[in-house]
Amino acid sequence: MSDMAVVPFVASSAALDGQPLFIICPGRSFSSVICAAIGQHPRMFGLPEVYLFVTDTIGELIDMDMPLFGIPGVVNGLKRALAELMYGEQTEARIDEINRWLDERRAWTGHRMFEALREMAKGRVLVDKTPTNSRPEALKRLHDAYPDAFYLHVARHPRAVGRSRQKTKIFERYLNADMLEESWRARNQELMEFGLKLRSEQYLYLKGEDFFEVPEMYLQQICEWIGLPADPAAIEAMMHPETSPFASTGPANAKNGNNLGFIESPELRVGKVKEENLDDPLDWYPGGDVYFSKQTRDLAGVLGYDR
Amino acid sequence: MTMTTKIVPKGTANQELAWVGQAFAIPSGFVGTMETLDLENGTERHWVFRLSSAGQTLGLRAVGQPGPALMDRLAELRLTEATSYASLIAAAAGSAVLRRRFADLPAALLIGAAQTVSAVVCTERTLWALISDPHHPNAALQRLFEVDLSQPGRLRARAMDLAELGVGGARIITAIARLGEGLVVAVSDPRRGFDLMLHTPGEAVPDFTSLLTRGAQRFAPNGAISAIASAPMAEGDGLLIGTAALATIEGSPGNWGPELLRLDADGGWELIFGMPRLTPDGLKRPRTGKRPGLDVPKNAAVRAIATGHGPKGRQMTCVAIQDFAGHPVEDRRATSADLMAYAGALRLLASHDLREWFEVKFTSPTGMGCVTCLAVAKTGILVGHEGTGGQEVPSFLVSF
Repeated sequence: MSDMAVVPFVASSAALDGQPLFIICPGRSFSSVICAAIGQHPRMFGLPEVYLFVTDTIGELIDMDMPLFGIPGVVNGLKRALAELMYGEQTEARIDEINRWLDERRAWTGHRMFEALREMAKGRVLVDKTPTNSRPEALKRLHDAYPDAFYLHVARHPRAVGRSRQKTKIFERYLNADMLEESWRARNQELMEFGLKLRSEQYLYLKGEDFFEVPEMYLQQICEWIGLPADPAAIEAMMHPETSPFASTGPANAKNGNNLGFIESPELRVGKVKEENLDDPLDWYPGGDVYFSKQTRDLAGVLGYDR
Repeated sequence: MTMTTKIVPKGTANQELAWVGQAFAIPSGFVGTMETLDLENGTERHWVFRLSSAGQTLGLRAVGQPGPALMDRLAELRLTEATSYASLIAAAAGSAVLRRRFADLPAALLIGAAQTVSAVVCTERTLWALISDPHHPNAALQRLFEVDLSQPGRLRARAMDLAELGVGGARIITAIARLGEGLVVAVSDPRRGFDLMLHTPGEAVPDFTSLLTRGAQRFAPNGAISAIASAPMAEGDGLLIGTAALATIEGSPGNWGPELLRLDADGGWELIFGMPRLTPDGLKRPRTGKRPGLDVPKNAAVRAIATGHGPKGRQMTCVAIQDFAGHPVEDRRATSADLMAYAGALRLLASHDLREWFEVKFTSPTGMGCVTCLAVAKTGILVGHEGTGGQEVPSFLVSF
């Protein structure tokens, strides 16, 4: 006779074959080069910055692409991706055709457009690293659209991120020094919490600096995670993000559409990344008497940055 | 149904803290060790006990006290059928046994009552003793001794160099275990994640080589190893390793929850439950498909692990997980010194294959502190824990 009540835990086993991979991270966290590297696998396709989960419709996204009051060039990544997938080339003429094609689909949602990209990719796994995907509202859209996708959370040392962001136009226009540390902490915290909503097989964390020390090793594991072969030829292809169709400037009517730093220097720089520390005063404050908060240091420890 | 094992140790007083040190299933029941601490005068006493398979008391004796020789007492209790006899004896009597058996140990080993033998690991040739106060672990007070047993007439002991382990400050030895002929030492580190080191006797310096580092690449959330046990035989030689969430816990540990890992004799490892991750040792995905704490947010620390033959003689692994019961702390470095704060609600989880797990439901006794050990038998799971009062061996049996 047994008086032991049992409550089983059942391992989940949902198939994720063919699901897209979203790289989620705060800005300036190596995502462009990592996305391009992963996307060079013969059975994957690394997208430029397509911004498909920022607005409700493609029309709203197109309308954002304007000078002064908008974000100039925000649709360029999407245009280049469509041209590459539809025509196998990115020329001014093809981009003109894409402009007309897009204009006829202003009512589409980002999800519908992403599905169109998947169809055009013909079975290849799409890899998206659009930086705004990591904002809470975009994450929700992403998750609603792709509850079974793979999500790779990438981080970089908070000092390196802050210093890098300080040099951007976005910082000059919209941010102040307080926001550099706060945004790193808030975004990474949100991404970790987002990871908890997913099934265990859907979410992985990658400490960016570790990736550059031994990229082959991490690329093999990412292939294993996605369920794609990690043969030497595939890994060799992934070691060359500079061969991505989006590693260059692009045609005059759809310039860039990707991280400018990556376009300027798209090669994978293998080796130890410059060491940072959590103890020194923050570079972006004058006076040298402001330091990382305890909360930031604690979260940094969780993400593998203990100094 | 829960059966509380009531044993009244003769000579124990009400104002005593008591805890079960180790417990082992033997064919006819359980044997175990208990320590008591008189809160008024600081006197420590060591006990061995024997229970029937139904949890009834068959014997309870103090050891290390004047009277018949220890071996005679053990024989009287018919404890010799225990397979872990050597470690049972050593752990049961703690420093008293060491004094008795190894009179030529350095005086440094015979530290006063404030520092006790908190763990002993034995092979045929070597004994290791970790000396610290389990209730107030302090790296500065920890000592690890190695005793060469290969020549019984000439026992040689030495204090191991803990500086090699980086012990000090927040880095504390939280567990030791045997792996083959070697010793595995777990060192907590709330900032970087635990380290697990291997010492193989007779090998050239350095004394220790790294098995797992930085919390098995989970970093700070794997701040401490809180339980180690031999892995099931079906899995080959190895260890099961349970971790604790060294967090500033408000609400639930969530993402900080504990993990269970299995370490092979060759240093390879896998996640049983825990956070999937990329590591220098390859992609680690939990065998169970479950994340930290088996996806139960409140689970905070794996307190004890046991393997044995459960119902119908099937191999069973049982894990005791407890909630955090201390006060939230500003600096989580402070929590590593007090794993005893993980003394909240207890859940028992069991598995026959380490993949499919089930929760064993039971009613915890009131006033239970930390779970200190488990033993799996055909008749049930014996749970040893901390308790106060000194009128009972702090343990209970969850019968199958």
